[in-house]
Amino acid sequence: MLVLHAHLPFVRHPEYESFLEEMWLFEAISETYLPMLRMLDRLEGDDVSGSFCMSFSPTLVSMLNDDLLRQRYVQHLDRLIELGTKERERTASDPDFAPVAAMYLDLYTQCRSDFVEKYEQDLIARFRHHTETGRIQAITTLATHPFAPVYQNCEDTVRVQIQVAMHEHAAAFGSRPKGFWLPECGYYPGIERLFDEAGVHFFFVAAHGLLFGQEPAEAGVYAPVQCSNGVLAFGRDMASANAVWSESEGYPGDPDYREFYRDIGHDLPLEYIGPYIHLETERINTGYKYYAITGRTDQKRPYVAERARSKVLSHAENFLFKQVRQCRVVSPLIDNVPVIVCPYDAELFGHWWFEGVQWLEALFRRAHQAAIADEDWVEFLTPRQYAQTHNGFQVLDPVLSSWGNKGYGEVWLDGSNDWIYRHTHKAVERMIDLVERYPNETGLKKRALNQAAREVLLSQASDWPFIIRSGTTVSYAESRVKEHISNFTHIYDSLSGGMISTEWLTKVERRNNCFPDIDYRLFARS
Amino acid sequence: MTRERLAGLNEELLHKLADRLDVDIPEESTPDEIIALVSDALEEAREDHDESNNNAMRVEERKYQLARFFSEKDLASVSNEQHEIPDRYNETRMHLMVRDPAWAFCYWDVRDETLVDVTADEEFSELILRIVEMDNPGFDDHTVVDSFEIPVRIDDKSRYINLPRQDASYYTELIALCGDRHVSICRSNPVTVPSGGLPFAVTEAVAADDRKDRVLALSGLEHLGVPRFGSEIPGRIISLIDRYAGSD
Repeated sequence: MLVLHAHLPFVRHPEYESFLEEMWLFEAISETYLPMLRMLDRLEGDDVSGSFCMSFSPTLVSMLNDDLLRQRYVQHLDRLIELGTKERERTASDPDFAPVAAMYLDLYTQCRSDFVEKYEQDLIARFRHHTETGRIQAITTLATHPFAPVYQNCEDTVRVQIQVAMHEHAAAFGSRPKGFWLPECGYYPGIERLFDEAGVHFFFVAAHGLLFGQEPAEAGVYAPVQCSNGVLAFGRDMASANAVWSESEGYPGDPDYREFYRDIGHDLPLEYIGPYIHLETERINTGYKYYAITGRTDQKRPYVAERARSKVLSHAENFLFKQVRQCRVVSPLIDNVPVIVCPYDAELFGHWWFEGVQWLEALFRRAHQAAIADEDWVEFLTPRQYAQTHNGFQVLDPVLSSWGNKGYGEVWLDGSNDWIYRHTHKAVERMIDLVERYPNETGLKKRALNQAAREVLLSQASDWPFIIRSGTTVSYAESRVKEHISNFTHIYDSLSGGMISTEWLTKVERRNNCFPDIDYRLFARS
Repeated sequence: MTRERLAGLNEELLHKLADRLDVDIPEESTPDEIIALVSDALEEAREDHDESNNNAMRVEERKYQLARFFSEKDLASVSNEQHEIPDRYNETRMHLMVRDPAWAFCYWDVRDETLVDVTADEEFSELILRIVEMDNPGFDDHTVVDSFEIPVRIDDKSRYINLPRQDASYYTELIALCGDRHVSICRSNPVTVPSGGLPFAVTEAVAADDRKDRVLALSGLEHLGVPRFGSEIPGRIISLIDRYAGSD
């Protein structure tokens, strides 16, 4: 069971002509979401069997549906195509780099054509098509992707995060999702009650979330468990995770694959690359990366796409072989047909692991061949398909866990980022207080209260503490937390003082415009 | 950030980078020497940072990596807008959060008036943070199993707490010591910390069933990347890991 989690934090800055961190979205569209849609289209066209589960975070959906960001993405592609044209000329006489430069120019030209013409800038509509054909089972995650365990004593906000996510997903995909991705696999005991309230049937946990439970997980991670309230929890398989995630031992580290870190944005002279980097002076990745991983050396070999493609096929074969072997060993030991749950960040494929989407496609095609040949092989199923054909799961409540470093909360709660929670917890408390004071507002007050609810949710994104701890773009992450807390506090104080500035509110509404249907009364005390 | 790239930075940025990496730059260092020092420190910082992450976190970081390690924007501390938020809310409250089976994080605040009253007591000597282990996670019906205290300063507002026992429930309480009296100022929410390993009941239960032992071994028990907090994997399961789950 393949589970891809697609997420980016809400980053949208209409107040600037261009904004560096919006590149997170643009890179992911070019390198992950568009290649995945092309893969899905090809699999559909060739009638290849196999399906998978994909979670779409509400913030990502909101950005993919945003006209300003769509327009900026096209402008971004235009710059990359212009750079590619110059690169084709610059490398024309170089037999090593000319084919790589041409590959990128083709890639970005195709991105533009697919995005603008084929998909008419609406990627979610195309993903929705593939949910309707059953190729993917789309699920959601907490609205702004907070690490849930740090809010377990503010359960009202976790409930709102779930409710907003369910609503946004239904608006984008046409129906409420049956499954839920917990951001960072961050599970705390009891959250399944909120899932049950929302009509969620299943979610995913880290392996030790099942294995360290109070009773033995009789099928280990090879079957879901049923929480006491009936919601299913699928456990993550570690062996298949490491095969794909590990930089040193996993497939993505193969010497023939493309090197992520070498980029012409850093390598070429400023006077040449200036127009294609941030503010013409700040060196950033452009996406034009000409080298293969090669090994632990600075002397990298030029990238050869054909060589990488042949590795993709052998790595897909190897991955499937290992899963088949594992199933054969596990089958006699458990009551159900074993399920191997392989969850990954969707953006790993194509972005960091450039060949990752090709690898995914190779998996499906190889498994399909095996099915046609009636080989005893593996089948790619969605959680819905698995649950429809299997039952009798063990009743067992998972334990606190995450897929973060050392398995718990140290990434999102450490000396660099712990200051956040005093403010986000307080904002939740105040938001609940606002609903009690203003239970049924209309007009400007209602707009202000709805915006306050958005700001509370946006302040909770797990991305900000994660980035603060990681040490890159720290000032941006800090300023985002402060911005949302500050905006919320401004509304809270304004309402208390009976004065709301329409101009200020309109500006903030335009900037942080996710979740247009949000109703502040979701924060009513339960 | 390569040496070549460092060479392109202006002197101010180079010194900022050195400060951020805690590199001592000897006076009269040449630009090349500064670059060499910063380059080595950057490499070391990157390696340290990668070691503090598991695979999932490393991959997630790539998603946000627009530049190499530090971007010039970060170094120059360019903030797009300054947003002021208060340091505290002048209220009396305490919040306890579980970080992992061994550590909890507690933050608190005390109303100025309350603090003035408490410290005005003639017998006031110090504030302490009491960590209380309960036999039950509910306040309404619990017995204190054990407790210990940590002295805190009047201006302290948070503290990480090393928890003595896993699979247990705790709360914390801020207390003013006034002579023989312990004056409670605020108390946190209760929390329950997980066992952080295979509970004893589980290892006992699977011992009686070879199939369950093998399923646990095959589930990757040895490769979870999770500290065990004193709960060791039984030897018989390790031997099964070697036999069934160790070979690639």
